[in-house]
Amino acid sequence: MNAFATAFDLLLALSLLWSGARALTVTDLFRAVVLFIVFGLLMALAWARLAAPDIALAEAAIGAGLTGALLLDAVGHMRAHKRER
Amino acid sequence: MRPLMRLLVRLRILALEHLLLRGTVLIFSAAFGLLMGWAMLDLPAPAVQLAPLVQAHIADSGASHPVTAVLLNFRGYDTLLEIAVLLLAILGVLAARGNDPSGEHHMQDTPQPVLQLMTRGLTPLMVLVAGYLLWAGAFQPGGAFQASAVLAAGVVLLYLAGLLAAPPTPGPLLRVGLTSGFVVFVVIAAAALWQGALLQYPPAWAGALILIIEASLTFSVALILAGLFLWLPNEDEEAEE
Amino acid sequence: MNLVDLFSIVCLLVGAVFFLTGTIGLLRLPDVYTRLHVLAKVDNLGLGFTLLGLLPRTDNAAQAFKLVLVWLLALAASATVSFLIARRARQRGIEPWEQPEAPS
Repeated sequence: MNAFATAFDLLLALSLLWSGARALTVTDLFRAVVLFIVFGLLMALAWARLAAPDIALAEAAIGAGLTGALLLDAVGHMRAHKRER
Repeated sequence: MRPLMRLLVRLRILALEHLLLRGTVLIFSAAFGLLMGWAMLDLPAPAVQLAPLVQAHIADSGASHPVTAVLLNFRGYDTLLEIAVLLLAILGVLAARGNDPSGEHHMQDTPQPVLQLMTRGLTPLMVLVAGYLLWAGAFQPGGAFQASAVLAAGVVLLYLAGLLAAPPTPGPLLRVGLTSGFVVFVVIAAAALWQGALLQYPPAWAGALILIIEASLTFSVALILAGLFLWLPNEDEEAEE
Repeated sequence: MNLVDLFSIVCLLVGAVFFLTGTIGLLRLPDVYTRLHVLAKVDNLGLGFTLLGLLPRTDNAAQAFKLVLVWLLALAASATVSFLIARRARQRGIEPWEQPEAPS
């Protein structure tokens, strides 16, 4: 079953690179934050594949949860500020 | 006609420069990535095998999971400094916010019943999961940071559902809670100094000491992480000044 | 390969098929309400089948209980979040997609 594992790892690495690149190049800020959350979740998967479940738990909770909420809050504030002008 | 041609030429050169810059950055990043990948695959075997060393001494460390043993016992000094960095982060956020306790508690303005029902049901479960992660960190993946992340997410969820009114700046009790993890860790580390070296727990008490440190760390890191969200300086409030 | 392994494999495959259907729906359906419909139902069913396939491979009853708890929590969370997203879309004035009139 090693071929499946390698294929899965390769797919995971490619989707990490793709979501990271898209998070940086997309123009709508909200979409960038959503792509960042997706990147965080894929990163948690990558940590689990590297046999580091502690870091996977922390990455899923903090990277996808708390930092995602903080960034969404920031995007909301920026939009409200722009609307006030 | 001539100024127009000059303007067009200038614009086209600017666009070309922009493209060249992007292309160069892309090529350099790709080359760097490939070199990193090649270097990772080409690494020689490490000179010192750390995993068997950790396994040999894990009985004295007070935790049977190697990650927890390394984090809180063998390399406890690093964890102590990490907690100090987190505390500095929340102090920085609070400093940027100002110290005006007279502002009103802010709360979400349109509470939504479905979200509130969901949150009321989920919060006890989150506390239970956090306690489980804290306890299980001694012998399986888990530990203080994961538990505190779950707790902080629970507090943020309570705030977003409109069930928790966040004070404008933390009062004295909250400040004690924010610093208690670091203080407990420093006190236990210093108490071990009296016995031998800094952070050298006596093996008979190592398990209990690690649990005490982890419990207080969970509580205060959860408050710090939730505070990073709740006490972020709000542009709408600053505009009034 | 005994019966339990076969059951596991079949359930995991069915779960994967459901997830594939859900993703195709997410990419192809016309507006946000239909996409939410697909995500809330099909993806949760896929998750249920995946966990059902993983249940025979757990070591003890506690792990099996945790897997079922994960499924229940995912159900509750996706239902709540779908409702919130749909309500917000309605507040912003996004109209549900209507079947375009057939040219007569």
